[in-house]
Amino acid sequence: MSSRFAKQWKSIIYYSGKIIFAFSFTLIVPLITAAIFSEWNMFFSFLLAISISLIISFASEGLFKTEKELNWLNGMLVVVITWAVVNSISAIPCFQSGFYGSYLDAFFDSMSGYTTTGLTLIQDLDHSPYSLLMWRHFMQYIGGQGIIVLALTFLSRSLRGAIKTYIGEAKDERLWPNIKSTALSIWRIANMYLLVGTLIISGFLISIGVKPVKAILHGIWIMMASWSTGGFAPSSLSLLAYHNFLLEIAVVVFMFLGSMNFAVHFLAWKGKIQELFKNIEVRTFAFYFLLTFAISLVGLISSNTYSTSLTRFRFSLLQISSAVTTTGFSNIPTQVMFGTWNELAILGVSLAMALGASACSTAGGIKAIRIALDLKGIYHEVRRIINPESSIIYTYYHHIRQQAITDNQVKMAGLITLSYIALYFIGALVGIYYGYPFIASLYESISATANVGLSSGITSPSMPALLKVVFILQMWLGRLEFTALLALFGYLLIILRRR
Amino acid sequence: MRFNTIVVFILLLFLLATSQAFASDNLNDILSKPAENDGKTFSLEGEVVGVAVKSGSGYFIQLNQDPYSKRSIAEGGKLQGQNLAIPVFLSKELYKKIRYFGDYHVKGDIVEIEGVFNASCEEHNGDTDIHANQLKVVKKGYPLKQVVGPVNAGISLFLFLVALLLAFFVRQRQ
Repeated sequence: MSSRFAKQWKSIIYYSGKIIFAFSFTLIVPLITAAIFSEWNMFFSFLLAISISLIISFASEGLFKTEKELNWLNGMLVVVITWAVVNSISAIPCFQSGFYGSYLDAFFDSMSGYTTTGLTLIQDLDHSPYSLLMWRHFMQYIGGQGIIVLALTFLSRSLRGAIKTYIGEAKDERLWPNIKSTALSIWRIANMYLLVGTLIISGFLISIGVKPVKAILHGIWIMMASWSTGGFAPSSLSLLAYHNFLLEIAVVVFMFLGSMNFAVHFLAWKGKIQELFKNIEVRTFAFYFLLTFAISLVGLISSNTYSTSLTRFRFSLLQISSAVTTTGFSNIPTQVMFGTWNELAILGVSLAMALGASACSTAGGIKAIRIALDLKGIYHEVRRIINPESSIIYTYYHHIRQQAITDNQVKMAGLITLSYIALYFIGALVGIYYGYPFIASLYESISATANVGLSSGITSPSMPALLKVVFILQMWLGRLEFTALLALFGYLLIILRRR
Repeated sequence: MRFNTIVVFILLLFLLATSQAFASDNLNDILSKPAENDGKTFSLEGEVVGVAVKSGSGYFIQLNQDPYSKRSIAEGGKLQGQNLAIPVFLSKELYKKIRYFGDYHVKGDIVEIEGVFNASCEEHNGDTDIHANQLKVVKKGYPLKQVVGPVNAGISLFLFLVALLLAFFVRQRQ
């Protein structure tokens, strides 16, 4: 038994090391940025992080080399371990920059980055190094596509059982039969959008007087955060720093593109535009986007917050789009929003955050496909009740192809929906325990779990350490959609019982 | 002589009584009651940071009023909380007075502004801002110099060397 246990851990550590090796190359991007802008302290901090990740990966290769293929449980554990180690290493340059109050704060931001949440504990953001800003946004860009997806583009041949790690990171769509081709396609699409989006946003910024170097940097950062539905911004004013409605429209478009299911996106990319109109996930998402948009708009009209319809439309559009795509950008200071928007408008934003966007995308939240399956499941049950017992009932839906709903699909969708809702309230309870108001606590808890990043003002360096830990776990569980972390807890439970 | 001294003394007293030290309003207080403060005139002191953007006949700048506007972390300032900022709309004439915009490499100009707070500015599509009618540069900004920490650099280079050696041994073994 112990030999089997040792063999399992050998393969888990070995394959985790492989992924950490691929990750170490991502640190070259901020390293080069630091060199270009002569930020030498940051340069050595990134070099330190590269060295640590290389030492871990070479040591795991030297000590634990194996040819054994990963099974399902081990695949899940590789995902959890890789995420923990990558986040821990990524937080080192953040902490060494001096812009974080503690290593926990730096770890909070790296988790927020990789989970594409956007909540932040950085201090003095407006004076932070360009290389640190590049790293924060690049973490979101990697996290949006997936740390495992990144590793699979380099390592699928040496990573035996790669598909299990891919699924463990809450991705279950294959664009191609081959997992490496799928990973490459995801990155190809993302990089293409990054290039086009950066040109568009930088162009806007230059046209409103921003100097070219800063315009390009801000263009890259805003685009990385938009496409990855991340929400980090290079300015403490977020999108309000640019005062440009057209730029906001461009950002909204990229947020929606990033929040679309990779498989649906891929079909549309290949010319099958009709998939967009037939797909149940897209249709459900469009329905509740319009619903939450209408709720927030009615809230703003009834509270008389803005004087013109265009202004109401602008603010409602950006907050709801940012919430439903789980990005977290804002064009209004938090205090002003909570001081001028009524509860109905805030409810619209909260609901949009909780529901989230598409599965197998860069976004978080419960996700449209689960909401669709929950509703279809109810419809299916009602049909079963009203029809004779002997009749066989099929309920169909279209997602990539026409398929009949199964009990297992409905059960899984219901289970994960309930898990999200439970986690929203658990986080809110911890907030209430620390004396924060209920609405603000629930808003912040939903934002963390659904990987959004909009804040009611609770997330700050001075908040209790335990609340920081709770938000970190919420972001992590929300991003991995419970499966991988629950597998770890189950595994630990088995070990404890055997003892 | 004594008469002159008395005159100077009286003049000094007069100046002291009539002059007011610049009392900056608190940005946090303004933002925490947006509806109440909408349309009121405030005086603020803070650092100009980030990017300036053109808007119609004027420019928007970002004014920070937080501990870091006095001394940023890049200058060795202490960690004391998050940023607190507001967009300020300036005429072209006022904008021209600003030279340094703060970031990691630069200490921005410290300015005093007086202007009207808008929770939702009708002129600027509903943006929260302050329309400044006066601006005075209190302290000019300057480029910041960085000192490389030798310990950090030494440890990084040493561990990088260890990583290279480890890579060599692992490849040799294979």
